Amino acid sequence: MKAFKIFIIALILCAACSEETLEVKPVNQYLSENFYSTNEQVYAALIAAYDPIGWSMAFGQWVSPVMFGEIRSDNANAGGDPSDNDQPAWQELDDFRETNTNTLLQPIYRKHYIGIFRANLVILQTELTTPEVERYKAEARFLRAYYHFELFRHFGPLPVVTELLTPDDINLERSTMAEMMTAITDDLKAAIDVLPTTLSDVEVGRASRGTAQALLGKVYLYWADLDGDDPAKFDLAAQYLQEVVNSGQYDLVDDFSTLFDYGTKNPIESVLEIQHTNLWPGDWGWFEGIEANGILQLCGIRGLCSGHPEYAAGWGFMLPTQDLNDHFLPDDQYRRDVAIVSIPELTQEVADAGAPDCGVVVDITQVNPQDHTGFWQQKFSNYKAYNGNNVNGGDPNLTKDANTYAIRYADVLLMLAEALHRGSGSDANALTYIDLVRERAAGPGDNTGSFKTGQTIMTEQSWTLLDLIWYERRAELAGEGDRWYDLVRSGRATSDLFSGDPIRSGNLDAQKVWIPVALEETSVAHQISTYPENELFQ
Amino acid sequence: MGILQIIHFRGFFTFLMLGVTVLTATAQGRVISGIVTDGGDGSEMPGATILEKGTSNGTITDIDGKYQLTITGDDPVIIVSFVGFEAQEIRVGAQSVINVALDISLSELSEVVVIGYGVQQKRVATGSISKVDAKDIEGYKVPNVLSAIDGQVSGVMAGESSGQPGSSKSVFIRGISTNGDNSPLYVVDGLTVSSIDNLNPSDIESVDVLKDAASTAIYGARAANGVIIITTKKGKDGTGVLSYEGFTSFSNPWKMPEMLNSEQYIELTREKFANSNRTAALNDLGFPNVGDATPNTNWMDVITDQATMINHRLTATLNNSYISLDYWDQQGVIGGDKSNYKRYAIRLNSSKPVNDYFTVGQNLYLNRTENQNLGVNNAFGTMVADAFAYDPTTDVYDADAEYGFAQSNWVQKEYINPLSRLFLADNAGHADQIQGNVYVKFEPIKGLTFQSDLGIDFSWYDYRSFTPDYNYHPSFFSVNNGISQGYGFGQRIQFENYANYTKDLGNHSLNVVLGTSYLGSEFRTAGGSTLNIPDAAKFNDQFQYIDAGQDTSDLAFGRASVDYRLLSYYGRVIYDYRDKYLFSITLRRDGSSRFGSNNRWGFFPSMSLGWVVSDENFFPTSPISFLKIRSSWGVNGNDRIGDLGYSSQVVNAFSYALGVDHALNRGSALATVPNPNLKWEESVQFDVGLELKFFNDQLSAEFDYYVKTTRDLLGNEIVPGYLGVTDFPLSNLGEIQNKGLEASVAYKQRIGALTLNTRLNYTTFKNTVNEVPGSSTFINGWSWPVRNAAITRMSEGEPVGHFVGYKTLGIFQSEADVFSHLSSSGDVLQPNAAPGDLIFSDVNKDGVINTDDITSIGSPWPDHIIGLSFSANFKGFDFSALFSTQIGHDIFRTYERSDITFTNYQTFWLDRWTEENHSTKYPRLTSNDPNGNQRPSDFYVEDGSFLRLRNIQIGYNIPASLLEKIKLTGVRVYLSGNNLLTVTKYTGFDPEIGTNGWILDSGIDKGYYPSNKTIGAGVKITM
Repeated sequence: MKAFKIFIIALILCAACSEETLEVKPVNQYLSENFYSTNEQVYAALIAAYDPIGWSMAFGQWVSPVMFGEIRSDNANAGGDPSDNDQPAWQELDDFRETNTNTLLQPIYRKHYIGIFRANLVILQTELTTPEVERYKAEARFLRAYYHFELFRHFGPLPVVTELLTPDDINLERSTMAEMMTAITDDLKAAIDVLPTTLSDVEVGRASRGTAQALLGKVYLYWADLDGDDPAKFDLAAQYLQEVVNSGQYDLVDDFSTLFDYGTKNPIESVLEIQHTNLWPGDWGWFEGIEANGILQLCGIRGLCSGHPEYAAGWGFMLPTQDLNDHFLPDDQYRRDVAIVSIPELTQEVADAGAPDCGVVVDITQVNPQDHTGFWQQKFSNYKAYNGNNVNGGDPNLTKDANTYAIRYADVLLMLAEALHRGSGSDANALTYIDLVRERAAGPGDNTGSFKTGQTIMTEQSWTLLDLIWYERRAELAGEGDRWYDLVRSGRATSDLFSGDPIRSGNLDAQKVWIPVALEETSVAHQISTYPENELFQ
Repeated sequence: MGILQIIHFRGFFTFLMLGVTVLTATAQGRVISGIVTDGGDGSEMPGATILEKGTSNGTITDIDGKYQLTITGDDPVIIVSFVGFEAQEIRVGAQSVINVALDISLSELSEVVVIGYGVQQKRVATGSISKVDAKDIEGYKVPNVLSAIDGQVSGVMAGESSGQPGSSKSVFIRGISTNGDNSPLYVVDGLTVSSIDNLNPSDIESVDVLKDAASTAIYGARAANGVIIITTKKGKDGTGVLSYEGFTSFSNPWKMPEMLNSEQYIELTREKFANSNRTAALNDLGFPNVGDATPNTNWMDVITDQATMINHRLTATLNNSYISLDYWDQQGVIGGDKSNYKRYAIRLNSSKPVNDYFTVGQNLYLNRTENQNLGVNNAFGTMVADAFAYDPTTDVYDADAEYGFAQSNWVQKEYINPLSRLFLADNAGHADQIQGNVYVKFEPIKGLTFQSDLGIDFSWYDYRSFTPDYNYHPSFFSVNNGISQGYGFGQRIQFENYANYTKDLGNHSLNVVLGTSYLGSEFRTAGGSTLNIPDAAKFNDQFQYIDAGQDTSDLAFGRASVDYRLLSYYGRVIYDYRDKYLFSITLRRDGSSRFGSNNRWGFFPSMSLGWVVSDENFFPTSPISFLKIRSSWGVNGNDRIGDLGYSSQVVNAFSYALGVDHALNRGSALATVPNPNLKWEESVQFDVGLELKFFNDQLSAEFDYYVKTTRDLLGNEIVPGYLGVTDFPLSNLGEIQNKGLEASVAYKQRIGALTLNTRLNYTTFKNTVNEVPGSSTFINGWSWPVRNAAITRMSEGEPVGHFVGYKTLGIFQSEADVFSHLSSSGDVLQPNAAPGDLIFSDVNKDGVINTDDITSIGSPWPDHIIGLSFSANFKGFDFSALFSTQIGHDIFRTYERSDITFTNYQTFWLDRWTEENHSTKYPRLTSNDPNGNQRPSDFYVEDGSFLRLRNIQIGYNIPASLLEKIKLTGVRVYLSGNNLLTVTKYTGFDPEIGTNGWILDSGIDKGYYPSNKTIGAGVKITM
């Protein structure tokens, strides 16, 4: 009967080990309860909050704000392969054909709310009050403001989320513009109080006081514009932008073209710069894990012959329009040449490099004939040098590491000029800041005396100061993804922009200045309207 | 009951009988003796009963099949019987030595089913259980037993997930129970295992499929999708038997899709551009004209090849042991030596009585598999998808091109020359597995046993892959070559302790099982990768290891799973009164580590009743020899979701680059929100069954009707995007119902030396989603990438994973047709259409055709599943055939890339709409598709119904008289063919698409790796 006893013991043993046996521990991971308790852990949480800023792709879609700002606007066409159906969601957005089933909508929406959630974790989950953690929290508030602002720029007012939600929270409604802008400006002001003025070498890329001030200025500018040109808000915009200028932390680089050279990162002109690296072997298996800048390959020159001295062929998206090419005044060709390149110019470059056996320099049969213009953007050039610099491997198309300027100092100067002019500031001061930008745009070296001042241009062109500001913004920031948002905030995003294009002008109506919230979202959160109601802006 | 099973049963009996005196002989009378043998193979039968008719005087045969009995009557008659064999009555007369050869019974009255922690006579079983015996799968040479049982049991839908060697199968028992993992629980010799893909079918003695809740309830947790119990072959006592079996076969795709040849391709492509007024653009590109000399490549031919399979097998049974050695080597029809499956397997089963009370035993399975895989059923990155899209005007080889493979000037994007894709694939994987259990059984008194059973399932795998650098075209290149290598180890331990008590008290019989079970599993992996091994080493296997890299920045990884643990207590009482009124109740309580302390434990009860009506006195004498009505109700559980869903885990993988060195900083955040209330998924099932036998059991039939409702489905709850989660949280959501009818009819007849067996299995089920979570009425499923549209859904009132898209109403034949397709307010619904374009339905009648008109356009689930098996034996000859049919399922044809401007087409497009050809269902071809003919619609949905001759075999047993001289006891030679006949209207590669790992990705053809048509020959030698 010994075995019988053993059996009984076995039964009892197993019964005794019950609850503890079933408590399993996570592997390589903390549970939230045990996390957020050291400076290092809160820092890691902050990094995760930065992460979505750098996403080139999310949920299988290219989610570049640069592409959105250009392709949606009169600056660029979608492009791609000859089917005119390459990346269909981008083709739809280009032609204002999108409906609420467009597949880019949800990735854009979720990307920014993921950023907000992660920022909220930093802000709300830790009980630490060390100086380090206070700074991390301030950065998280900056990021929370940034993500909310990006959502606003795409969709109009959306719910402000400043707490951790649960799956039961399915009844959120769109906030009003005032609620959203108040939340954003509150966060930024709180961040400004804490953030440092300067960053150390290892901190480059993080938000500093100037970054938050610049963004706050930009937010007030948008708010003022959309709130019936409210001069008080323009003044607030001017106030914060002026602080950026006064800080002395930033300057224009001398040679405009070097801003977009291979390897240029975080120059003195950079105020908010999205960071990318080639050190992570990104591939198609994990879209949100791509740490490089995917649009370099995507928006490279399709059909380019391999004999080009600098550029590798790309996939031909974001094709600058003739209209953008023609925007640049005759004295402004330096800026134009940095932004745009044409087929004859490329042919010349190949010839200069002594590669006559290239045959056709650009095989336009590979290019989308509906969107082809004969121009390519070159602020995000697909440099050959990227191939092979992915020292840790990964897909070579997804390891190209140029950064993206979200706000650079020239933008700050132009915004400041605008805020001064449209608020109660001095037009003379505004022109001074515009001339700083214009002087640099004329070419490397000191162009004082030789460049055309803003005043001269206004006279020559019979422009108002506001005309000049719009000219400058489009010329200075061409191809950098601010165009569409500028048009929307200032009420210029109308079908008149596309008068030569019956499809685009026919499809663009007042509703389409915002993109719809995806059907997938409105079907789980019924209170979110597809398009923002007009009342939300009042 | 199969021969081998009877052998097993005999062995089992022998243990029980040893040392236990069952029957006593009286002292007077004369003694007869003899030997009882199996009429089939002539082997001795221990444990057979010899009873003097009309008395309680009897004995059983000893281990050598011998008996001795003192008979008492005047004109004695003895009855010699053994379970599973036909009893014989023999008048003793003057004989003193009576040798008896028993034949296998045709009757299934004595059939035994495995019910979990025990066996039960089929006639008194109250659950719905189907059985497949070794003989039903013998000679049907497939590497995976799930392929072999398809069509052989009712209530089961088995599908290939690809025709690639070594691919796993999808199996559904009683419909689609859940939107998660639908695979049944596999139990091999009492050990639950996660997969039976590598189990050797030839070692299997029987497969019992437990379908209703009462049968599966003893496995409570994880039994909601049904249970497949596999019993492997066991040894028998007595003379050893050694056998060798060799088999080889040749496979080809059962069909080749017919693609346009180059002339047709040029003609259609030109027509396509002409229809879009883009002929000039085409000419500018230098596209060939009809009549131009171009290559004419048939890419389907290029990618397929005849494949061979070889199987050698050695088995031995002796001293209660069963030993088998098996070698399997199979190539794929696509991919040649880069798509193959090899398996080396050893099985060692034995059991031994230690003394009068104890028996110890073990079942042990060791195997190594070597596998090379290609991507399958994917529109991106597979050779099949390449071959469907690639144009015939491109040559296969071009000495000047990268690695000598010509690349198309026309078809680009994701597509490359399929052979150049194959060239890049260079991977190899090995997996070693030890699976089995050891047990000790203790029987202190007759009828009471305690068993303690320790099961292990350890597996190790390693893989390595090499990708060369390549530059096929501007969007398809890699500047680095690379190596990756990895290792993994998985372990699963199961500890079962249970008691089984059986008592017969006259009219009452009782069986009670009580036990506990513990299951734990975990796995760990590690690996790394490097770039740019030297050119000289590139294509040399010997150097394809990380150390060959020149890089100092080798990337390494190491991971482990969260432990999974399951703890269970269970009990079952089976009671019957005079084998006529049957009752059973099962209770099980399971705790799973996958749930939080709020809902960790689940309780799963079930009960069943049966009534053998034909045993009632009032039951009239009729052709009906047996009639049983049974019914069951019960609840089963399912915990197959990710681990730790109830807690909030911080994921350390969200990086961002910072600093002047743009160094990657690792970030940590919650990927989702926790759900502390996560609980067991439950399925409640009601079943009613009828079992009938006619004409002395020659004809038997079994019917079952069931309603199975699965609630609190485990899955990822779709939450609003503003929650900001990266992954949707695990949750209990929704409800699915399956209602179904199953029938199985068998007919047996012996005409002289001819034995015939026919069996028909029929399955039908209706699957309905009763509820989806949240406020939406549907959840989107698989999205067709190049159309940017979800084409499957889980919608209330529809089957899980039904297809959605636009409804077509034919083709516009004229401009007048276009202008008469109007909304109720008189607007032209399709203003961009031209004659030859598809007409779409304004389903919701809102006057515009848009996404609101997307509606249900098909279901991947068949209406009827039928299996028909037939076998005949005549003297030394045997013949068998197995047909399987699925009727009424739809297939979504998504491999067709009409959005690729220069794609090739299948030949049915020759029947496209043109000015001359109006009576067709294929629209005109255009290069810009202004009407949106390419939008997901029922145009792409086809009926996938098929009839397939799964297996046909002819065998011959060489007569024993010829074999004696060479000391052999049996030689069987046979021919066996799989899928030799397929009848279907489906136009793609194969109508059996199955499920691609996710239930909402079922029935979608993305360029399927086809099933094979195989013919082979084998020999089995026994000595």
